[in-house]
Amino acid sequence: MYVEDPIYYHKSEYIQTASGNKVSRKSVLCGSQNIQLSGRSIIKPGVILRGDLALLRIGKYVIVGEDTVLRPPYKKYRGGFAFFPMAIGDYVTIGDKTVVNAALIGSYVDIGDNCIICKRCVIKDNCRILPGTILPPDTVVPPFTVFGGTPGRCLGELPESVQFVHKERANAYYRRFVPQQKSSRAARGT
Amino acid sequence: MIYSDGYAEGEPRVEFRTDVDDGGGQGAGTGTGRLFPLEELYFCDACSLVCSRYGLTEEIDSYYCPHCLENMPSSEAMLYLNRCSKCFECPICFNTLTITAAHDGKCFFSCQFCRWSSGEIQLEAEKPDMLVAAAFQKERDSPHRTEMNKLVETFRKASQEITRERELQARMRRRSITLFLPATSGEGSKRGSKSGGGAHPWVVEDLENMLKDKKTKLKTMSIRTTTKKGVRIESISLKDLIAPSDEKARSIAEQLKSLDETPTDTIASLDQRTRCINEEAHTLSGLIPSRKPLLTKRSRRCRQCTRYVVKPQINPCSTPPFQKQNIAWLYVPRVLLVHPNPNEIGVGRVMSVSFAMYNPVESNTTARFAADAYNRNISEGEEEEDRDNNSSSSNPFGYTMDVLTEPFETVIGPHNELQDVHEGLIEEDSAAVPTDDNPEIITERKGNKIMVCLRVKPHDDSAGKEATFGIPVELSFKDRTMKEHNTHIHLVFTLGIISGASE
Ligand SMILES: [Zn+2]
Ligand SMILES: [Zn+2]
Ligand SMILES: [Zn+2]
Repeated sequence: MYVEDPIYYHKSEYIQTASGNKVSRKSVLCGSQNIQLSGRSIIKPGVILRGDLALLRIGKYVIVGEDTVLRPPYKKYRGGFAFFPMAIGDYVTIGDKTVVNAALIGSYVDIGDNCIICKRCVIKDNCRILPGTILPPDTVVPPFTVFGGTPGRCLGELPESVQFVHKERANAYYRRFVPQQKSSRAARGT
Repeated sequence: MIYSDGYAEGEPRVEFRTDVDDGGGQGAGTGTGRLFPLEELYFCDACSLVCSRYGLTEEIDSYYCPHCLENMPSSEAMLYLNRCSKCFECPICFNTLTITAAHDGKCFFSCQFCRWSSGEIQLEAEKPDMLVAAAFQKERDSPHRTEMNKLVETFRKASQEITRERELQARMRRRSITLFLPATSGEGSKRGSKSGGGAHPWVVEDLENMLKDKKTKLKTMSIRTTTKKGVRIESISLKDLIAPSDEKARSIAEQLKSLDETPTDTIASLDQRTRCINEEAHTLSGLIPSRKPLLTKRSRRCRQCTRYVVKPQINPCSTPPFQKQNIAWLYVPRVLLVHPNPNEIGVGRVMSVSFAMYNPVESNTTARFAADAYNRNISEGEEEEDRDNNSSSSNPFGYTMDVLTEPFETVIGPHNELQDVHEGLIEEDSAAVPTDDNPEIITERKGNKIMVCLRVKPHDDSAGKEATFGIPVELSFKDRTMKEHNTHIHLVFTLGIISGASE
């Protein structure tokens, strides 16, 4: 781990809410009345949040990477199907270009880039999903495990400190994610 | 097994060297300990000791299924051979199977990933619980398993016999000593050491010989020595394969050629076969679903004081997940490196290394850096000859850089819980900690963070090697219960690869 530089964004590219959420203007929030953001979360450009299908509850310090889709899961019944809510805990980092159809993602979870989390998956607290993983429908990821591969399998366990590590990572990312200063912009231009 | 991403060679990082003088465990004997990131270290608050998982004993508290998350004690887990009694894995892709009902009302297992269905192996039932029972029975009926069970039973009996004999021996030894002791003590001090010999029925040498005898007998009883060794593997040269020169080579070549005609898409992979080992299946159609292997919840104890360092809750999903969680992260300052410039790392060049330290405890932490502890060139005058001796004594860890910064001591401010809640909003006041920092070394300080700058220089003969140096640090702090701790850590910095001498 390194002492990292700020990640600058242009002030006009993001909307900052009163509770500290930073939502890209280039993201698509469908059915925004059904999307709950608890605060200090970052929604990157290209993200699609499908609140129009069912309730989408997102905790604090949740970072959703570029072009990622969060889509509530559905279940087929005799003669039809129904969507049901998706809940995401606190301090969750989701990578770029990932599709999430999970029913539940706990807190202190790290999901890599280019993953497919299929419908009704349950990812418990303190887990890690490696980049490029495909979790088939109804997969359960128990606490303190690492899943990877296609289909995603348990590849090992995480140390007991993972809660603090993932919390610090999400915290640090939010801290580093700051609007570009005029002066630094000028400096970069040269 | 703890999952770790590992590091690329020369990847800049800071690690902690632990277990340097532990007697046992993995990697012992090298005397140089092991390197871990802070995340994987523990802190025994009774001994004020920072250690890795190898410095702790581990015990299994409970078992649980990773899919249905049901937990069970070890006796029950044993009964089910450490596998879940309800959840099955796809024999093809190892995904967890789901039970599906067909239109005709029959239930079967189906894989939501590779579309495998247990109908392919005629595993179907009227009801879900009957299907599970049928799969269980299929596993039980395997002829290899029945055969194996017989073997296991035989060996178990043999091992019981061995333990019984050992116990008997131990008892005999104890009894012989008790018999022997009153005899000697009764003789009084006059006869001294000679009392054991002569007319007395118990002679120490006899006893020892008898035990030695038993030992060799036991050895011949062990399973290892009675199994046959040496499985012959047929080999063939490439020349013989193309144009067989004799009859034997011809037959092997024929066999190998016939392999070519076997359709590979129906052959089970090694991974699939080992998952389903009882079946000894060669083709995919011979594989059956296997039950999900259980995971464990484990507690860890200090090897020194045997107190718990980590104790999980029994239920794998409870929050908080631990009853006791003494991880080093909550006691030892976190060290973050400022990414070094790889172009600066070269033989003969003095470079500066900056890193931040964050104090996790709510008291001041005093840190004493023995910066030059493992420097190689202690005396500049005597070069070459002494170097080899020096490198083994003062540089046992094979570091490739010297630290030019003198040893120093500093205080890191306390961690403020509120910092987490309103981080960035409160301006920290640094009044509680000294302000007489040497600006060359402590370049910045704010709240529970300090920035440290060290000057380091690669050894002259280290071109092409990883740039590493280590610094022992002594830490003094108070924990939440105001208990004072004084502990030692050993920071190991890796900066990159050292380039050759520059002009
Ligand atoms: Zn299960
Ligand atoms: Zn499958
Ligand atoms: Zn201890």
